[in-house]
Amino acid sequence: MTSRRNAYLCMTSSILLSTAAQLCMKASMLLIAQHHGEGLEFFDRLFDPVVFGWLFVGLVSYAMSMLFWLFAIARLELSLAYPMLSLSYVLVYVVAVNWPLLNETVSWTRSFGILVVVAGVILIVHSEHHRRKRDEKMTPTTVNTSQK
Amino acid sequence: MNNYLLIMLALVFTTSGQLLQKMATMRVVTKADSPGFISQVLVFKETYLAIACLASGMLVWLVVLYHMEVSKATPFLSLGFILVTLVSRYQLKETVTASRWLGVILVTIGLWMVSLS
Repeated sequence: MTSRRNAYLCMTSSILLSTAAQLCMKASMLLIAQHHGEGLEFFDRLFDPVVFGWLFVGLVSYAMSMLFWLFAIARLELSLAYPMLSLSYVLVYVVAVNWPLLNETVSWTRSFGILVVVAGVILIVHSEHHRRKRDEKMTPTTVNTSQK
Repeated sequence: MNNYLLIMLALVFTTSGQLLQKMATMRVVTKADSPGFISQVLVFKETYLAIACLASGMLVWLVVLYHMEVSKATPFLSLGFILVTLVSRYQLKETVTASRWLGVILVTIGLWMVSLS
């Protein structure tokens, strides 16, 4: 089942890249805000090498995540792939509360919400895995063709 | 215009964008891992409509954020997961099992909680 495994790899890449994109863009905007009060205009600050570096990496990651997303949905059902994207919100939260630069606050409601999201995605992927296994048992020919 | 109507409009644009992206990839005959995949996707009008929808969705969302507090507006974005599942089921004729529905509902509730606080 290499094509399907590839689709899941594309899915994972898309999730990781969109997480990186959000975090890098946020980091660049935070660095701009930190320069505030030095009398520089927004665009002067934007083209500071470090600020622009974060922004550039963010935008490139964003574009790449969209490309990988396209590869993923070419193989997977939309109703299977789309909910998996929510894992990116989970990763953004985990990094945002642990990365000193962003320093976002942890809250019980948020952390619980994150766990509910993870549970939902696990349920979707797990049930899909079982459904496919069962289908392969019922029609052994699909197992043979998929091993090519 | 009413803010909630604008939020719905943003959701409709984003959902249509996802649907059209999927429809574009479904029209491609080569395998997704082959190098010609992207150039083939770029042939179909669905791809450009998808880009237009996603861009419009983003634009309407910015208008929403201009009028509303982020924390009040973002919980509604989680409804997009339900909308995408509905179009997958009724437009793309995908089989959405009970556990997949339950998973989508958990994701929606979870994201709602995250964006509330």
